[in-house]
Amino acid sequence: MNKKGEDFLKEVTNHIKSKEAKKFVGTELEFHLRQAKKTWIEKGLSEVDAEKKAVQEMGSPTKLGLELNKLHRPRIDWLIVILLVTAMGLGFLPIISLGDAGLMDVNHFLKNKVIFVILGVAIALGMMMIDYRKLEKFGWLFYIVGVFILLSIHLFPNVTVNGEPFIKIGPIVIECLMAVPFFFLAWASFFNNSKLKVWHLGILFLFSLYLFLMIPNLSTTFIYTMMVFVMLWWSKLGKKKALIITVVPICLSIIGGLYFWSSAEEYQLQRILGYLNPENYADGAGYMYVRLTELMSSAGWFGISGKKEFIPAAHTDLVFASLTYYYGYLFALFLVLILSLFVARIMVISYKINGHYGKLLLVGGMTLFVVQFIYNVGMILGLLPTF
Amino acid sequence: MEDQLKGLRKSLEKTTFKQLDFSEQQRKQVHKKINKSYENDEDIFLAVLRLLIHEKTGYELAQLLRGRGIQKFEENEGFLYTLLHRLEQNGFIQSSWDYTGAKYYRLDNKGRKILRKAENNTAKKRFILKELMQE
Repeated sequence: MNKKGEDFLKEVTNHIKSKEAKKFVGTELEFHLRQAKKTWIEKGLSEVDAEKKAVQEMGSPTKLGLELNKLHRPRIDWLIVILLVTAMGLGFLPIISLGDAGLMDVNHFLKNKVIFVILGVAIALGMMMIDYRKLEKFGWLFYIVGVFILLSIHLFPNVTVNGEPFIKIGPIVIECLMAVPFFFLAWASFFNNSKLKVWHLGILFLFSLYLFLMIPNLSTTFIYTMMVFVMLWWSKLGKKKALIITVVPICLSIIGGLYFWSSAEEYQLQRILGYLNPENYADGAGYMYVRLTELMSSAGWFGISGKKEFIPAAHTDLVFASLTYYYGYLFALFLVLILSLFVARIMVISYKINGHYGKLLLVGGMTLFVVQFIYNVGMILGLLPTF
Repeated sequence: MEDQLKGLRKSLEKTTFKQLDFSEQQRKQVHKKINKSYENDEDIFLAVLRLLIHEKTGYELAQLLRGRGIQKFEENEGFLYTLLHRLEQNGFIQSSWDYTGAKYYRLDNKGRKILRKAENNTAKKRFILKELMQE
């Protein structure tokens, strides 16, 4: 490429802000100019004239650069931003309502909440700045960080709540749920890596599963397992292998479940029966279900008025129940709508996005979100068992 | 009246438009623009989609479009790339690179569907193809 061509390319790319677009537009147009030049030389023009002609045929570089810039400028997904802000705002409601009812120390929880919202916003902004594709290389690092978190909780816990160990450093509590995002990033890389064989992936999964079960935290283990198996379906292994890999453990767990049923302890059976038939176990294992049904039916469309009753774990595990109780069904429907819009938006994006790694990230992230969302709502409606 | 207008034109040529002079090249460009406006965008989109049933680079596409007598991209081949990039962003075509730095474009499922729809329904062609250029 001589001066004419180079000037043209420089002028076009100068108007494009996105670094990535600059590069691929430059390469593509350079290829075009080279081809056009070749054709003109074959038609008998001198090299200089051929290049001049090729550039002339392209039209105005300024106009082209401006238009391509418009096409390739990074865009902000305002719908997701609005949803995020709304969801974060609604996150303050349980604390406020519980504070009003005089059931908890508002200042302490509010301070915590504000810290987490600021952290969340910072992470969201950070993710907007970086190119997520750069993370793919660090799959192993993320896996190691995940393993490290789980091992430290297992080996050096300094707090234990309900039999589950935690590490508490000042105001920060490290729990096993925090390892999940790292494993999520790791699996997105692993599943996009065609060098990894099924047995490699199997060992990687079983080792991480073993660590989760050592803690032990059943709900986190369940969320993690669901995430890995859903991502598996979008992996480089293909749907056929994914089907086999999914069906075998399901069969094994059914057999395991039947074996468990025949050898289960009395209290474990009670918990399952309490879920299946809460009325008969109302003062034992069925208590939570009966209580939830009572609370839900007293809420009505616009929430409870008058004396408010105590709900256990009202701002954590049973947050959806407590919000329904305080603000009514209409509010609950609104909440479900907002959270479902997140899912719908992510699905739409996953269809549009180019590149396998991005799809895996979206699918895995969506599973992490959907499993917890469905579980929370299903539990309150009495469709799914409480832990 | 006729004569009066003619007189006005003559006198304007001597006064206001005296400085105005079209070079040969400008004259050509004006004529080209006039001719171009007879091509409508729908036919161009349709031609692009049909040509992209089989994989092509932007350069090949430009040559073939010219071969079909479409002049819209003459002296304005760059615009073909804005069109291609927009079609790709809207999911009608997909692209792949080879090691020489050539970028190949090819119709995607969505693109094939819209092409079939537009060909079967010439009355609504304009409306159907509008979807292609959505921002």
